[in-house]
Amino acid sequence: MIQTGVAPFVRPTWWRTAVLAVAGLLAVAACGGAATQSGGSQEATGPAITIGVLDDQAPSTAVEGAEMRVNTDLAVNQINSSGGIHGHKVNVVFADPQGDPSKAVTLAQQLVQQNNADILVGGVLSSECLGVENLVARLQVVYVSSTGCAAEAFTAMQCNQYSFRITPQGRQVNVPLSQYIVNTYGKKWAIIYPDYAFGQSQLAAYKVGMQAAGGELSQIIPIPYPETNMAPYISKIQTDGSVNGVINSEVSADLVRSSEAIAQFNISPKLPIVGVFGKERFGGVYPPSLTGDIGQSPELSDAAKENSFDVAYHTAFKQQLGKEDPTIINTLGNDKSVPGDLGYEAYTAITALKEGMLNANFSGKADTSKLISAMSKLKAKQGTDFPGGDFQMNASDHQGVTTTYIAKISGQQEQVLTTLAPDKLSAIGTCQAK
Amino acid sequence: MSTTIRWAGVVVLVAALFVVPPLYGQFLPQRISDYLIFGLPALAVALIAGHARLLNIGVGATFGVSAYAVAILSQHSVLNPWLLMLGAFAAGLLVSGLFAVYAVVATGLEYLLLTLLTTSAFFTLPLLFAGITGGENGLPVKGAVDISFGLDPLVGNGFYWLLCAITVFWCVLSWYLLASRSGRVMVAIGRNPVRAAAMGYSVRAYQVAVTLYSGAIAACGGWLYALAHAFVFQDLLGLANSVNFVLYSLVGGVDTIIGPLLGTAGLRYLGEYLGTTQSTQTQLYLGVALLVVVYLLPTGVVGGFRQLLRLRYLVRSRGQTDEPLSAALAREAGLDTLLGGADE
Repeated sequence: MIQTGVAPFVRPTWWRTAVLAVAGLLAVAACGGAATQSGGSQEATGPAITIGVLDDQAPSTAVEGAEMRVNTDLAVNQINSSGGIHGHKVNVVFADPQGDPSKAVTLAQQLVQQNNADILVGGVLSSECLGVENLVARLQVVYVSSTGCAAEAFTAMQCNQYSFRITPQGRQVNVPLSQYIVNTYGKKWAIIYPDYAFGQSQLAAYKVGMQAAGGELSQIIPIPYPETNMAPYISKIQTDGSVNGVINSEVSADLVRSSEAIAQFNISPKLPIVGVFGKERFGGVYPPSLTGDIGQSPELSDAAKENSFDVAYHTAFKQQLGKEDPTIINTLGNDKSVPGDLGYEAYTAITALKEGMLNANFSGKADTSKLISAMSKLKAKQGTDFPGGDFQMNASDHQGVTTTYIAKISGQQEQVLTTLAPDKLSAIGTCQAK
Repeated sequence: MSTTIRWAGVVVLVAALFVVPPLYGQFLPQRISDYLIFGLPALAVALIAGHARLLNIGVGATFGVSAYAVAILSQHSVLNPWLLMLGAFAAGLLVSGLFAVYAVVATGLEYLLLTLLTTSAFFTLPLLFAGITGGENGLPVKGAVDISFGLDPLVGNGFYWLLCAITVFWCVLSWYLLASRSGRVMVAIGRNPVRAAAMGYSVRAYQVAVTLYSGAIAACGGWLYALAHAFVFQDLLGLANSVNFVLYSLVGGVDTIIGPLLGTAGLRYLGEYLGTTQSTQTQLYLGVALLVVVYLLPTGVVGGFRQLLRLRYLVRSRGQTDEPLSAALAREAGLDTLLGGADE
């Protein structure tokens, strides 16, 4: 009777299922994904330049993905409305890897080989960006990271001639921030960090910074990843005067959770909190508990009134936001939405590319080597393309540096404590982009 | 239909798999390559869970460890493609050996939990040994096309044909083994291990064998993934990846050979399609699609197709048997068992 159970698996209809399967496999795969495209006005008339954008809309990266979408659309529309790149319209093809690095690599390949993308942009998670960075060296197309992609390894270890990062990361900004807080508040600090490579690289960066500033991390609290209950870790922070403050290097949803836990344990009134910054991470409105917190950013949450470029950028951001998908608008906080540093990273990724393409007279993939050369030498003053401040690309590792602000949260305001010029931010490592 | 015609049909279809995508060109060979690579561990799930009824959800660990083995070896200047292949298989079989031990010492829910916890533990390995695995950043595979027998996964069709040949090899071998006496015994053990043991079969030996065999298929997938993408990362080892393989297998048909490949292609294509055609609701649509498939086709797409064929056969043969059509339909749907009918 056991044969009764076995029989269905060896029935002679197997060949029919094989027909279905192979035919289905071929049919399904042959239907190329019609990617989401957005472009600009009619003013640019030459053959289009296509930028493939890996815009990660996974729940854990919803804010980063939404900022990337709005700011990429904004920058591309501005390029096209001003005549494109020497008459070439810029098209954007968006693809969502859903937080899966293997999909990111596959989609990047698809964008280049099927959608004929001339340039790749985006990816949020470090593993996505590093995977794509490895791929573009084989595909031989220029890749510019956008929002996220914060792992130092991107330009410190795995750099290659095709990959660029515009905004400073890791120890580039943590070292000067460490120097500021040691000089201002004291030498002994506690740090909470996500216990995976990104968090560990943050820890290493702060250690370097503290050492340079004559301070120390006297209490180190790793928080396992993934962990939604922050209380057991936050409760370890010493508030008896043995540390002068707390560095919070959590990111995304964990940043919000850890900030809430810090408020619940009433730590923020007793100790300065460092590292939490940017209204875009909180739906455009800082929780009251964040008052007094200190952070660094290439862009303040609200436009600096004395900076006309920044005012124009924030105004254009709001206008662009109104044209976007309601889910994106909701994710960013509706009428409270701000670009913040997450949006600024995405915006300047495209504007830097614009400058590079204009300088290289770029018209398509065939001009990749010219674009690499132009991007490597890129340098710009504060203006429409870089409203937050000056920008400079390091030719050796393809890591950009921008004007960076160290600021303190005060209610819904951000008070700039000090401004760091790009040349004050050192290189992350010694990688040579060849 | 004669056996000759059936075999001819299969040969034509396999030939189509080899020929049509390269002729179509563009991105199609690369796209199908990805489906075949992820289809192999899905096939491994089908064999171990669908046929042998060992609820192993740790196939992703085997897949990931093999991929990491290739990357780590290449980082240490081992660039011989045969050595890399052997290394990947050895690493994969090592993990499978662990699962085989679980098959010997545990059953049912206990076995399921052991595979689940082991997979979770494997997910943390890259972080524990970040120095050699690259930690959360992942690890590039060195050696360019030399490590894939001179075949470039990004250019030309050579690598695609290699993948097709390997996939066909595993499918044919799996079909042959399942159709053999040993395969039937294995399925019988899956259905009722106590009865099979009472008949004198060594239940544990068969379970160890199927675990190692399916592990070899998953390891092969990991090896090919590393060659194709030249980059490995922590998520390859994780539970999410393992669950994906289970889903691919379930959607395609967990008790079939070719269903997992079809499920992989369908689900991965759906994710890619949604990810490039709308902006924010990819995972929601994907989830709803999965629910619909699981609800309407509990035996998977291929299983559902089989049922349709059987129903058609029953309708056509009505009158040639004393069994009422309603009873036959209920038997096909398994309702007779549910209502107390004997199946053995």
